[in-house]
Amino acid sequence: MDVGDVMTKYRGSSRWRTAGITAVVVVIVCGAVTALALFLAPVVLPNLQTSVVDADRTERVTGASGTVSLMVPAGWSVQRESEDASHIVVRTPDALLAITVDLTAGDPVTAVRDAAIEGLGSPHLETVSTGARLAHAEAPDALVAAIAGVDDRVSGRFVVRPAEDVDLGAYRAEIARLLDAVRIES
Amino acid sequence: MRRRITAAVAGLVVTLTLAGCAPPSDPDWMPRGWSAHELRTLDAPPSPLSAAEVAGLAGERVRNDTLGLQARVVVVPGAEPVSTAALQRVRAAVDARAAAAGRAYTPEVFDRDAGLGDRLCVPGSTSQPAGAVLADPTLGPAGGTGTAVVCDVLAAAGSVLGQRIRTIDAEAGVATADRAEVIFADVVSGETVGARGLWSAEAAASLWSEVVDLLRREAGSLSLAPVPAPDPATAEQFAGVLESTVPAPDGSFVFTLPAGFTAPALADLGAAPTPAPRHIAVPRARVSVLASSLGLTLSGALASGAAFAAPEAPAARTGTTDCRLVPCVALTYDDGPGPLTPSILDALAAQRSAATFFAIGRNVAGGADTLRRMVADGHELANHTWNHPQLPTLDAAAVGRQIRDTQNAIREATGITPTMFRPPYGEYDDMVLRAAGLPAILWDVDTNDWQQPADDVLVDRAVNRAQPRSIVLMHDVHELTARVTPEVIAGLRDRGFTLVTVTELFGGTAPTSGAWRSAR
Repeated sequence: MDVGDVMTKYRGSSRWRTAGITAVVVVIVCGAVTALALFLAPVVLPNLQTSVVDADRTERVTGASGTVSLMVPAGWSVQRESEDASHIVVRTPDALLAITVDLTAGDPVTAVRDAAIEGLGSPHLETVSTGARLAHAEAPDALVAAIAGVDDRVSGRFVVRPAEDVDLGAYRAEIARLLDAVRIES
Repeated sequence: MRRRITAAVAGLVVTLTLAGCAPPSDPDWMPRGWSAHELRTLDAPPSPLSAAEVAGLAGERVRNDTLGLQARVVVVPGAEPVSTAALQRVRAAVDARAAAAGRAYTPEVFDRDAGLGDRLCVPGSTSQPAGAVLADPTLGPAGGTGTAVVCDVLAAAGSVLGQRIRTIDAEAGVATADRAEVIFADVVSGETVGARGLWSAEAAASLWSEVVDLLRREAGSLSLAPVPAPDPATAEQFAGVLESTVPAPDGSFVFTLPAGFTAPALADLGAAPTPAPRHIAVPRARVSVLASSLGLTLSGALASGAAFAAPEAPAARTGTTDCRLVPCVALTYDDGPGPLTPSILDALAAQRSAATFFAIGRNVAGGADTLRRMVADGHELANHTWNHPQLPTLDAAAVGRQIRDTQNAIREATGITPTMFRPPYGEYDDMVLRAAGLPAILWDVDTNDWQQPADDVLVDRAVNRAQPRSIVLMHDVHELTARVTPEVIAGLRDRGFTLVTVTELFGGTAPTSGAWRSAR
């Protein structure tokens, strides 16, 4: 075997080694990216769907039997998965309170009970400024309110969850203002 | 190629992190509260004032062990309607007690050191437990059976005084009835109202709704719908609650909601009737909308820190004294005015006590300023002849001149024409009375101060011998008399006396003829 044959053989084995290393690196990087994406996705993706309201803005959530519209104050954020999403999440500007809004069939008391929140107390009934019936009840870590539409056939439901160690009481007036501006169309 | 891949991955991570891992948040944002003029609850109502620290107030105190009564109220010298309103409450308690006991009321006095010179309200006595008031010998009826009338000064600012008067009926130290009334009075206009009168006619309905709103917030309400107005019967019932209104130093008003308050909106929330009284503060901004004109005056004065503007009043008077209600005595001073008279006037003014001065005509010219001060201070001026003769030794014309010349001198110096005279040495006869044409005012307590007894002897004579409606004889020309006058006044007040002029001693109208040793 002359020198030329040796060099040719050496070059062939080096190419294979480089290709192997590259393949390993690509696999590692892809795995890392995938792992990172899987880890971050639950946090990142919703926030990618969140927008901060510059000025008071009406948001609508449409369900099978109607639409609930609410006035979101400036500075609050709105998270909407898609244009025709069945629910939205609005947050206070300090991001310490999240309110999930959806539309459910039935009267407001039923809507509150159907929220299936653990530890939820008995609903209380009031009326808002429009005269619509408002039912609300509290659990240790949540508040559920529902406002009736016409004929109680549909209700807009609001599940309010404060961040850990946040006193919900400080936010009650804000919640009341939000509820007072709700309109239900069926 | 490798670099491009690395850069792309890094860019994706950074983009995702910046866009997604940092949700929008404004840590400086604060949630808004409820409406701006919201009511609030207090742990306790505003504390009453110390009447002693309010310039321009005086106290009246009645103790009557025969009927079982002790009463204190605050009066305002120079504001007769205001004082009258307070004294009417005492009079009502006296009349009720007399009716209950089946006996007529006669003012009583007590031994020296009875402590009745202390006449102002005892702060907090209208909110103490009834048993504590009844057990306090300075407040309750002797023996615990009878009636106690106690008072608290709730506000004194600008021209408005607020006083709570509480009446407790008791048997053997146990209250059988306990009621309180608040009087607010404008000492300038004389307007007097109950605490409810601090509010406009529309306030009760509005405040009812606001109270319901406050309580529904506490019960967890999330409604911004206005609380429906109460029906007229509910509004009227709630107006009674406003009788408990007490002003606070910042101009807000506080009323006490009794236990058991409820409303349909509260019942819907599952809220039980209020288990205990609640003290509700109405902020000044809301008071300025809901108060009556008197309420606005008071709230404004409090908010501006205005002191109580006591009206100008004669230095020696607390007002017109009803000697059928309080035990009265008339100190009288003969033979002045002289150099010692001003110090006696000072002593009388210091204890807001009145006297009657029987002036010698020939002394008037030299003491005109003193006489004018007597009038200004609220004392009574009377005639003691021109030069102190034994009148029965004179003929009628001379007696007439003695009286007439002195009348003229006093009138010229002061503008006052005396309505009574005192014959020197107490000597008179029918001729003297006819010639004088005035009632002769003598005395039933002669201190004999001209004999220059020891100070304590003179004080004992003046203080201990006096009875209700007595006339006490002294002379404002003796140094000893001037020296002990403060102690005499204090001693008489301590026994329960109110010092009045002779005319007041006779019920406000001096006799027109005859000779009088006392008003009994």
